[in-house]
Amino acid sequence: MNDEQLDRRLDEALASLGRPRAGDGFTAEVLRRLKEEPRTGPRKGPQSRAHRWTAWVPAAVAATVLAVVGLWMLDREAPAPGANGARTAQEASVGSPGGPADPPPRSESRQGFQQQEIDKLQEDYLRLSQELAELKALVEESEPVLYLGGDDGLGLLLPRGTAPNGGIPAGRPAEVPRPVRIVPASQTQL
Amino acid sequence: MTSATTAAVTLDDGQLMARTAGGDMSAFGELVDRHKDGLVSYLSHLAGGRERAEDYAQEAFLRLFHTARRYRDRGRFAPFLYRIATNLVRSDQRREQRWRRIAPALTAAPEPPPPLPQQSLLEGEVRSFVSRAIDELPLAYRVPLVLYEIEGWPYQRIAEAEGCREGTVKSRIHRARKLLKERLAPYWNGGSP
Repeated sequence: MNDEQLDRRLDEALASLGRPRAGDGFTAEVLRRLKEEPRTGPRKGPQSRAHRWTAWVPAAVAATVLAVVGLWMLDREAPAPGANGARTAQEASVGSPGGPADPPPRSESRQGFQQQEIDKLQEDYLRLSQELAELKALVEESEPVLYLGGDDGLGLLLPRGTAPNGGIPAGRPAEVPRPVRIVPASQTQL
Repeated sequence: MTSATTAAVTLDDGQLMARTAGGDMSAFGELVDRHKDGLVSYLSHLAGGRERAEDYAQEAFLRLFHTARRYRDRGRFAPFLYRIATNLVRSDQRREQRWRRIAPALTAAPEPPPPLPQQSLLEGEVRSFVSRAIDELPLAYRVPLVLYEIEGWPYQRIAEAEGCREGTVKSRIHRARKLLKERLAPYWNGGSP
């Protein structure tokens, strides 16, 4: 049997298979099963807009909350400027009453902490300016002297205007020239 | 026949689906009446047996009802319905294949089906063996073959139901016929290969 004959036989065989019909009461049975189901109306289905919203909105809210909490934790853990013990040279020169490593402010904002640092620097600047002015006044009021030496208890000062023109004679260190004043050591320190 | 049923008869499938989506049971009943015979016929060749075909068809109509709100009518109601039914068969077939793989380890080996006789057959027997040969085809070939050769669908409609191109449908039908001829030729040749 060649291929053409086989095709013909196959067509005949397929045509002979017939087409079974649905049994009596098929439609009634389908409707009965529908009524027996707890949910009798057509479902909205997973593709409905409402379902899609309810599916991803909670996930989005959870992701947002996690992100906010994460940022807040990072902000807490990050060292504030100048508060990690490696202070700047300026801060080291003026000193800090809070010690070398004050803990970073936790509840205050970073901006508030920076303002506190600025206030401290301004106070230090004012204090140093005042001390400098007092020192200048002291220098202007005092006569110029030459510090000749001393020990922990006493110091030898020679007023510049009273020094002999020829200087102190050499070879007689035990003799103290008359203009030399003996003062407590504390007065020889600035 | 009620007035609602009378009105439903004059509507097309898309309009009936729209009414079904609104909860109109008489519209849905009309849809079932229109398509039950074709679907049962298709499924009986696909799933092997009328009883099984009716079970599949009922389940397909129930699923159709529940998806009525998602249905967008583009004049393709029948491909939509047949696709639901085919997917039911496909799911069951996969389940059976999985079971066949693990069953030998759990139970005694099933009795193998009797071999096809190596002799000329009577017409009734021919139909039976053709049906068996169709059942043994892969589902990918069986679906387009049954829809085209038995249900008389055009290629385009089959392509819509299967979600593939017309060319694919044609090649699958050709391949299915070739497999059937190889399988049945010995019997038509009177037992000689």
